[in-house]
Amino acid sequence: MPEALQTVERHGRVLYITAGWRHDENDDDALRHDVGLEGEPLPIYEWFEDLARKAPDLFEAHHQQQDEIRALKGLYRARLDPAIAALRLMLAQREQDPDSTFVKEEFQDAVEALHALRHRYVRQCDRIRAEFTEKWHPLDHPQVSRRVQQIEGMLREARAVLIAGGHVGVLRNRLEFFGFGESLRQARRRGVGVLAWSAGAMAVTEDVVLFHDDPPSGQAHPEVLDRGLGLARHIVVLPHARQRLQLHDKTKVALLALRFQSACVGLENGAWLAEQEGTWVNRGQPDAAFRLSQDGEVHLLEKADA
Amino acid sequence: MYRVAELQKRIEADPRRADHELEQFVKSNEFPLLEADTALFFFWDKRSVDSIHLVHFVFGLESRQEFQRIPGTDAYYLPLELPHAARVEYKFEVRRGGVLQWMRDPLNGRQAFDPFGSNSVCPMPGYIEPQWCRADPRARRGHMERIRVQSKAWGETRDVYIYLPAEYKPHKKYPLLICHDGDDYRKYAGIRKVLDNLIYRHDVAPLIVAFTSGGAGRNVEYGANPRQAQFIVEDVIPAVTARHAINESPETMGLMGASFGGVTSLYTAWQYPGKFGQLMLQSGSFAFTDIGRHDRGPLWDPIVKFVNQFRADPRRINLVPEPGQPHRATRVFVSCGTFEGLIYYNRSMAPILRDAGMKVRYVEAQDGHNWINWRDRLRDGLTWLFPGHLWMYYE
Repeated sequence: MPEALQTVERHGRVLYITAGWRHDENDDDALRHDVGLEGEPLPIYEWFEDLARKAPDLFEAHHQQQDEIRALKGLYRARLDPAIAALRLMLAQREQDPDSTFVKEEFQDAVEALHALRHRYVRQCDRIRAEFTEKWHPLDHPQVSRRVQQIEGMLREARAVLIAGGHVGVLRNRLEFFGFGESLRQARRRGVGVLAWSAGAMAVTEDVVLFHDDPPSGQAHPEVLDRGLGLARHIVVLPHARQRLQLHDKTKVALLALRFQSACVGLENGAWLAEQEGTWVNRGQPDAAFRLSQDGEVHLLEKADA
Repeated sequence: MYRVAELQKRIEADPRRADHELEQFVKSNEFPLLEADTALFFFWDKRSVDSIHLVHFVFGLESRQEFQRIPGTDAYYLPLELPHAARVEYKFEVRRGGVLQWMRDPLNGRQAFDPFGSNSVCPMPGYIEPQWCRADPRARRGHMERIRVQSKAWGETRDVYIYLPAEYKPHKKYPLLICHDGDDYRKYAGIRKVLDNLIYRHDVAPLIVAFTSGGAGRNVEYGANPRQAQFIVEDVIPAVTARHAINESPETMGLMGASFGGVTSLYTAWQYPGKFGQLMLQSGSFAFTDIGRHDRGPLWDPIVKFVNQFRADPRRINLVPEPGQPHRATRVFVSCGTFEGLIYYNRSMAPILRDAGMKVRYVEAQDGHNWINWRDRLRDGLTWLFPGHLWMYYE
């Protein structure tokens, strides 16, 4: 991370967000050490929790919005399971009978059904959020708008913003609540670097995808949590994929890659992907970033010259 | 059997070299010798014995099996066919000069401990010790504190140990799990380390665990005894909630125990319906009768009576659906070793719980009535009852 930070040419403070650490948001000694003395926290987890006391109605309404999204998630899962089972079946059929036109067509339709299901789920999440925004105008609430102004002021002076990992749902929701999607987009245009890792990296992409092939209980299909901030485009980020995914299982790899139009990229410790003229290049360790392909293979991303 | 047959052949070919051959055999092998699905137990201490038997705790196999002697030597062996993933605890029963002695296998350093001492362990090739049982230097350690509880139920003071997760924050409310035979779970199943690891990995949600242990009459106390249930609900829980913020909704209140500890866990839920929505029952001594009397002795009378009552009305311990929570139900984890005499009772329990509308996870293992079996199932049980945010954490 210090190496990546050095590539940011702009001067100013380094801001960091550790909301994914939830109650441990302020246990940031190790991170401060990495960043150096110039680092300054953006404690958005704490700011949001403050709303429980200072704006309880808004806080409660936001919780209700999240409950609705959770209920929606249950329905999404109920449809996701059979859709994945169908695609798995088509995949097996296609391998057995690669020349069959109708198998190809059904296979393609099964893939598109999963894309459509994902789009619908995300649109429904957007609708729930839009209703909340229309009713409550959270960014105009005095307790929120003063924080937003504070964030924008800090971003104007900033050289870079770091977004650490942790609980991706909490992190994504807090970032979204305080309007980071737009403010970070503007900051980037001014040359402010955005460096995000693990859950932080997931939160800045377009689709936040939760995944684990072997959870101790419950279902194991990767699923979309929600829309991300959309700063990093055309990529689905899969941190610690070697630990969480059975990458030797070609069927599972293919099923995951087929479900997204964007590239599914596994990131391990030492990985560093940088956006360069609209494409992603690997500036980190060569074996720490890899792409899951639709044929079930895993391809290392070649290291690009810095 | 191949290697011991080869050994026999070499000894038969040159009996004068028997000791040398045996020395080499013992030095160059690990015991019990595993070949395919057979474990070969071996005994040779250079002295003759009157008899030697393998004593094990595998229900379904003859529990005392005699070794065979290698002709012309004081070496003895016993092949035993076992399932691929079996884990067997055993001892040798050696009779020498009319004196009978139980001992651990001198050629096998693997031991398992329990309140009665220790046994030798034979893990078959398919048994894998869970990685989360071992100390993980990355895992932050929880805190353990001892409190003295003045018990109205028992009329005396009892120690309760409270586990607080590493992330413990006084202003947060945590689930509470009451663990019976807590001293033994900590000592022989290493549950503290397991909790540290599983919470660190986000497999299990941060929770508070209260470890209680029975008194001198533990079997009577845990045998479907209303005073024990009273002790948990009226003595232990108030003492814990006086010190720590507990979420007392039944969905976050759990009971766990093994053997008679499983019985008292179920019995406490039965005595206080609606209080506990999470049960972890390991190798529960759920003896029952469909007709006639049981033959297990008077200690089991209250247990059999209770289990018979429970089987007639299992819904009593299920949580009642509420507005906004139509699918509310008690979650139960049941596990048992297939080598236990209790397997029949535990297998019978799972469908009864399910049919009563509870959410049940039932797990069997090729193991016996012992603390390592119960340790090895902790992840299955704890993640079923108190799932963590593994799905959400990326660090």
